[in-house]
Amino acid sequence: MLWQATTNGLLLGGLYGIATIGFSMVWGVMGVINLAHTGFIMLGAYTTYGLYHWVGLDPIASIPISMAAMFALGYVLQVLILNQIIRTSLLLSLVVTFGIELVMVDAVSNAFTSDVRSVNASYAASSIELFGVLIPVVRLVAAGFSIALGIAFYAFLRFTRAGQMILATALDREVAALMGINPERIYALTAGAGAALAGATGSLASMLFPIMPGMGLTFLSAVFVITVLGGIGSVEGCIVAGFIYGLVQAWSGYYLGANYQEIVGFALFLLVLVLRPQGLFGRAFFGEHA
Amino acid sequence: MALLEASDLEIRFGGVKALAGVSFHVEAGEIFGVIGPNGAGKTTLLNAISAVYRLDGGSIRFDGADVTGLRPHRLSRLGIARTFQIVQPFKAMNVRENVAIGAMFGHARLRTRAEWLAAADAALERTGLAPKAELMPPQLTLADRKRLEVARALAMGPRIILFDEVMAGLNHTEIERMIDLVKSLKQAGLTVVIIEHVMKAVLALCDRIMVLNFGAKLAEGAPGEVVSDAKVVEAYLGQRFAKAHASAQPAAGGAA
Amino acid sequence: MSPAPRIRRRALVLWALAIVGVALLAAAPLVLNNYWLRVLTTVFMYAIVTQGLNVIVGLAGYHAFGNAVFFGFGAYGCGVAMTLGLPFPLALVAAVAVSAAVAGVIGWPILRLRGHYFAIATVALNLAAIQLVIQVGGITGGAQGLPLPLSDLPPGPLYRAIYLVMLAGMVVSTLLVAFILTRPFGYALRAIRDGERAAGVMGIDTTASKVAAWAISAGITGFAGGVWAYWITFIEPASAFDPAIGVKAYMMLILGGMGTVVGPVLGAFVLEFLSTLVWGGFVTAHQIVFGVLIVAICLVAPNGMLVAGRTLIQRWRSRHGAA
Repeated sequence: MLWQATTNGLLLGGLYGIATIGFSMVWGVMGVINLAHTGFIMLGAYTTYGLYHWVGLDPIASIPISMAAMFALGYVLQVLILNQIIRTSLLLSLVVTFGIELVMVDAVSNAFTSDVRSVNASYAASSIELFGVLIPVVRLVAAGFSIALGIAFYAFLRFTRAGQMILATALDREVAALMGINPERIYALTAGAGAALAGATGSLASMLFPIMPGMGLTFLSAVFVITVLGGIGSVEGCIVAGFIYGLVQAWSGYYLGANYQEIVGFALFLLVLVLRPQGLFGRAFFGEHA
Repeated sequence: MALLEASDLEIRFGGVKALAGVSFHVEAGEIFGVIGPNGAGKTTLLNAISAVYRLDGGSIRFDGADVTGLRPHRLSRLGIARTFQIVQPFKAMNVRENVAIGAMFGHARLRTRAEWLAAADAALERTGLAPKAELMPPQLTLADRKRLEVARALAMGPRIILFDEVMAGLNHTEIERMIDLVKSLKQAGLTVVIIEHVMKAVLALCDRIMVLNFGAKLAEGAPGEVVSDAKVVEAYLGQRFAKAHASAQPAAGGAA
Repeated sequence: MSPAPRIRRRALVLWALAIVGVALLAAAPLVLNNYWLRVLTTVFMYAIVTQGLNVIVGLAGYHAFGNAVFFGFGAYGCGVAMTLGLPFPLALVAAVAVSAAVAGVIGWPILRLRGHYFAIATVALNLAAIQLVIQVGGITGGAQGLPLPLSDLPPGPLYRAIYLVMLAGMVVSTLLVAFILTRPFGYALRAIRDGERAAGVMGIDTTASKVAAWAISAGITGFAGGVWAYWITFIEPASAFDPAIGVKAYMMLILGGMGTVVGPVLGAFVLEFLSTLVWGGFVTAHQIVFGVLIVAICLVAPNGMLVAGRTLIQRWRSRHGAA
């Protein structure tokens, strides 16, 4: 059973990892704590649900669509709202993104009611047995896609011009501006990319978790812990910390009971913050807040 | 008698040693200068002494007592005051209030509002800021903001003041005024440590100088000896320049 | 520190106005109907929470975004104390003490964090508290919620009494902030807000000051939570620790002006009346309206309504003069 729990934890860890990358990047690049991030995850799940329900689209096939939709939403919100207040203070970005999250959740509650929804892919019930451990195909698929997306995003940052511009802006906004990079455009791009990853997370999560307006909140502790654990703005840190978080969750569920999973998560978060705010793997990415 | 004694100070950032075992002492009543190229660890040294950074090794004695590991506010009440290179005024308080904070919290003996304000006014008078007492810090020139740093330190009634590049960014007249101010502090019996890039000021003021390079002590002694020391010239100007000028005594000014 | 006579006269007028205002509010229950009694009680409650937030955010500059956690601790402190048989006044003392003690203990490690890190640590604290009550349960009633013992008073006098207690809380917390601002402690907090390093080397015990400020902030917030619990007689984790309470207080603080004495009260009146008026028209979309309101306020009046108003008047005047 411990092996089963460990396997489950690792499989979920991948999903937690990509749930966090967008949040961590937005924080690292523009110093915004985006409380609406989990709202994008929830919207991604409902996008998949809607496409599955009305068009009969397979949840996996809906990932690009929900990513594109969330990219657009993230980009537009950044341009219209966040870019206007981003330089004034930390607290405004917290308050504003909380407000955006409220609107998202309530809009979905009004459109879909608060009832729990679900999608059932054709392969939902099947699972593979490996060394006595049962691996549900859906979870395997979700974990695989998560890792693939994480790697793709890493490659995007390292090897494309846009990615390089994002990293340059994160390191030094002024110098980046001198080099002809328009920071506000880069911020919008980062916000869009972050939201797209959140959307993908939502699509994948829709196969594993009940879909409801408040589902984003269940990711919030994971997102916080993994961001800090992995180091602000670090993609590879997010992936590794995602697995660690998944394992801790699974083991605390196994040893203490499912009730304590979330409390252990928060405790871990506060512990890491106090003992090692620079993350497990290095220094704070965003120098100003070290 | 040594008022301040530092032994084997060590500060690490990650794997980098910003201070690698620096020892020195400051005599009561003297002006002690710390110079060195950019990144030599001068400001780190000041932060170590004033406990803004936690020491990774070494010890500090002040007036014969071990003060290693004391928090900044405890040090300030013992009589150690400092200024910041990047001035840090409390921007929502006027100049007088800024200075009064030093008297209110950093002074070992003052207890009443009247005493705090009197100490603040005296410090403003001494630094020439009295006419600007009611202004807000953003309304001050850089020179005045540097003087505000000094006034805040003075209001604490310190026995030693650590100056972190109070001359940087000032013009010639302003530097002259600041030199006069520091001289007057010495005459009043204060002990002074200055970190400075402006060599003219260092030579005019200091009784002794310590040179830092790569977080370690390179030389120490009277200003005249130190600036003609071949190692020092090399650290500042590069090896080739040092060799070329090995026979000629290098001119003292403008090394920064 | 040496106010000019003109400023002193203005302060005198403001004090007089404030005293008259409080006297009127204290007498108001004689004429108000139940609806407006409830609205005003809510306004006072938020004014207290905002004033509590003002101490840690406005004065000390630490963004305790999850400060609603102390509202919950106050509510549960009062609820549990009353379940154990304490009378309401003593239970309220317990609520304040529990909240302040939690902040004091947690403050030592957490207040070492700065900026973003401190902000999300408090958010995590807020969410963790919900989970803690739900999962650990025990005497708190867990997820089922906790009914408080009913009062002997009939509803009418009870609601008027609660109104007056909330009003008193608002007045006292406001006076407390005014008092702090005149004390060295107030100067220490403002110094920490504007430059913590400089504050430290100038002799301020920054850690002790911050922890004390958070404990005071938590005590004030816990008071509001305690009275609220008695008022609504049934509390559950999700409503007592609702992060939206903290965020609403944040909006009121922004609107009224951070670090000022009466700003939080003004902000509470304006935003609560505004949302009461607006929400009447959007029964099913409260959160959407609130969310839009948040975004709008941050875009239009990020430095408070007084600053925004002044800017608006200046702009109008200059345009008027040019025409």
